[in-house]
Amino acid sequence: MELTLGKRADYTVRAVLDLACHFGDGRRKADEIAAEMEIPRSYLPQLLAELVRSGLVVSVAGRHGGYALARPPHEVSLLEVIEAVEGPIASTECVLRGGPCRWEDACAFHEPWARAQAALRDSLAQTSFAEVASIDAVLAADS
Amino acid sequence: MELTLGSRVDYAVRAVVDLARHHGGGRRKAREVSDAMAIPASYLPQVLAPLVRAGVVVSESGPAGGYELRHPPGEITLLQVIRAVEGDPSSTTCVLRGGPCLAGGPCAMHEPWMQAQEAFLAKLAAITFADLVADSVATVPGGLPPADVVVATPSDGVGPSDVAVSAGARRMPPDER
Repeated sequence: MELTLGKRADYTVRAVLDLACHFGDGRRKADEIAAEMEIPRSYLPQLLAELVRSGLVVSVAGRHGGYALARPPHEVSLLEVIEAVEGPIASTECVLRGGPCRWEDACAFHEPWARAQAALRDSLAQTSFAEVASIDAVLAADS
Repeated sequence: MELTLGSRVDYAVRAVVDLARHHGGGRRKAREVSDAMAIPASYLPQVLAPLVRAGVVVSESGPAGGYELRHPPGEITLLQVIRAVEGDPSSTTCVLRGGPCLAGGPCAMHEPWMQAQEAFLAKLAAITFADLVADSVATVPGGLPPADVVVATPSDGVGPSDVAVSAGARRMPPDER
């Protein structure tokens, strides 16, 4: 069993990590982010647009334009960024497809699964991009 | 974002719920399990085999044979059954595919993601089949619909799920969505 982030969330997390690492250094060009984080150049604008819409990133057009985090990295959680592109982590849908959920109102599995999901959410909510960026800095220094 | 389990795990959980309900009442025939839990009879052996291999279920062949739980339902966790069917969560694979991960080392997301995953798995490990059976005593008469009839749909306004609980090292190909 494996919990994985999809491509969209993956690239988005990378882009925000890049902005977190450069927070306070001025705006980042899309090309810089794409090159630094190995994000396909053609894919990046739609991800950044999503982040701008959700208020996590600000963009300024023009020669001196670019992207920056709207808030300091320690105020941006992993959960916010993932949910900005993926939508909320749902706990209302049935986990087991169509099956035991027809047992009465909710399947026996529903509650335990919802609790597990909440734990995942809480953990992601408690992690800020300042932490991710500091881990990144340590890893970069070690290599 | 939505977390879902595949139909194989779905059926496996159902089968174990059935065996848990009848624990102590003798072995259950494959036919009884599949009828009671709306599991396609032809699919049941594939569902039970990994559970037998993992030591969750004991199977006996012959006229008096059948399936039963090796341990009481209170000693079998949801996580055990999910793992038996889907394999262990990998802790070495990078979350961010091929990206910021430095060759041979973990990426910056590795630890935070592992923590979130651990929190998730710990909850599943805290639930036993005794709990599940207690919560599901009232079943709909006439059995359950097949698992593949209704597919979980993302809630309103939410795009396709991008977080998958997937079997083994399987990953969604980049262009699948």
